Amino acid sequence: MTVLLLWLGLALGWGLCGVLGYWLWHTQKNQQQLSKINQTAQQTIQQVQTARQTAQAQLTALTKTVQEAVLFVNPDLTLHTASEKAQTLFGTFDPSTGAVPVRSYTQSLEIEVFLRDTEQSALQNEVLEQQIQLMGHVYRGRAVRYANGIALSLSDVSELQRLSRMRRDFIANLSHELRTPLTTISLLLDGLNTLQQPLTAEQRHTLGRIRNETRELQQMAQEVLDLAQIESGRALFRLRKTSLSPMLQSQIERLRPLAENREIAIDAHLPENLQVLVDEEQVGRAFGNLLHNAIKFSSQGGKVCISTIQVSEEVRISVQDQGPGISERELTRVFERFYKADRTRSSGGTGLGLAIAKHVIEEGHGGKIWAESSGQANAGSTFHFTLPIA
Amino acid sequence: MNTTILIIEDDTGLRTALADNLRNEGFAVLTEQNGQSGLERARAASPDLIVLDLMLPGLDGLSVCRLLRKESNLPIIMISARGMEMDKITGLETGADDYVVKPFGMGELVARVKAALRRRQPEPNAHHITLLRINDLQIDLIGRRVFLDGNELHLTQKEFNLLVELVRNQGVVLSRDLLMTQVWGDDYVGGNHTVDVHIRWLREKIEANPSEPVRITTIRGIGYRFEQ
Repeated sequence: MTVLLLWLGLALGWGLCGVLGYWLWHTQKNQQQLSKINQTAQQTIQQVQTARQTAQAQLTALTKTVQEAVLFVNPDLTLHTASEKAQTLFGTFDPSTGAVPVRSYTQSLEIEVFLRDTEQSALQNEVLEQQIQLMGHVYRGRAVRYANGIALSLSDVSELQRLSRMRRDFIANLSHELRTPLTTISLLLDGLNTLQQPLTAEQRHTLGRIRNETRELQQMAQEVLDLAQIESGRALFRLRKTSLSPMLQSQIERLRPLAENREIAIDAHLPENLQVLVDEEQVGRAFGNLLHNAIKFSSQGGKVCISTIQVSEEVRISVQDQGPGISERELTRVFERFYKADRTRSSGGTGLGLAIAKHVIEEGHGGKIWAESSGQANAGSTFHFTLPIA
Repeated sequence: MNTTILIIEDDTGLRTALADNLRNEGFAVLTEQNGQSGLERARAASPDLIVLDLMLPGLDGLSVCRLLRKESNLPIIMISARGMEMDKITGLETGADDYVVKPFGMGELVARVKAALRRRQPEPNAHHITLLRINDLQIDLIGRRVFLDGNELHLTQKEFNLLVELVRNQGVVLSRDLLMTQVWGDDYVGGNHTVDVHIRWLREKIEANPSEPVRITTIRGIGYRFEQ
């Protein structure tokens, strides 16, 4: 019995030792794993901290260097960060003093409303723009919503606005100063036709020349105005369903006296009942510019052909002349502002007509305009442009 | 008795040329060279028609037109070097019967003078539309309120102005830049993406399915159109 108990005790002892040994081994293994996890966590924390520090440093550098006033705002419209320029504008911001509503910091309801609109209605990372009045100046505000806040930049555009207003007024005054005497000349010419004594052939010829030169000046005054619009970077167009042929025909009739003076025939093949989606006044003028050039560069007794062709949802209009032609090198350059091809083609004008036509066709109507010429002397040239069919 | 025309124009050359030509056409002609004296002459002499320059020293043409329109409906033809469509609209909305852009020929002006004299009695209140109605959409221009199917919509000031501009040009494609200029003003400095954003917000309020709009449609690469 005693021996049995001894054996049992021994077995139990060995068993306990085994369990204890296993427990010790297992714990040690766990500890190793834990320390490994701990190590990885430490590394991750350090990486995150470094990244955060870098981001913070970059943000600080950015807020110090950026020219605009920049505000970072929390979704509840309290201020998070203000750039140095912003602090110059709105006063010092100390984040440690607690949450500051952007409204009380900027003293601007406009900014608050703009930020609220951005917070509620903008897509993520979509930039919204608004002009904001602050302390007698006009600012261009740009806001973007990101994951947990809104960024707003403000740049002072008062000076830019003043200059653009000055330019607009200057152009308006200039056009007034030019157009008024031109109208007077036209009216005086009209008055001469109603004189009691009939005019001699020579007098009539001279009057015809004065009238043509007046038209040239009127064309130039119009081109200067059109240029002002292009320079402003704005494309102001109203597109309506318009019959193509009457629009082109009215320009042909307008320029027919000029063509007849130089014994140039205008041969036009226009489609019936084709509707295009255009700003009639501006496309009419663009076409008029092309036709005017074609007549100007044709030699006496020549012919100008106008044709149209329908290509899927567009119509292509072509104006072909028998003038001196354009070299390959100049085919694309003729559409640049103030560019005049070689002197043989130069016969007055502002050099703006084609640039204006390009602006009207491409910016205003999403069409294309281009020139073709074989490049050989007197082979003539063809100008094409496309318009959307209504 | 001859039909009397009053010309208010500051440029001596143009004033004289106009007067001579209109006299040749058989009209009796009075002339004035600034807005204030023109206004007084118009009140005193009661001409049959006024040819009025837009840019006058002192009291400008638009103001003269606005003041005269309050007192009488005598035809006014405005002449101006400013030929943009906006200028014409402003002139016509002020109450001018016609708007002639310099340079013009005598034939054109005489034709317009005769046409304006024929239509001497304009319809009362023709220039004062206060309510726009497009199917179930109703816009009160005075109260600046919009109703869809009888329910009032809450539009911001810019959304309201944008909607009115589009509706007034129903069926016409307006370029982004044009909308920008009309709604945000000539002085706006910035890109035209703002127009797209406000169109999106407007569609969310007036379209049954804003992602497939039927009222305000996009004309790719150009702008927007309020459909008829």
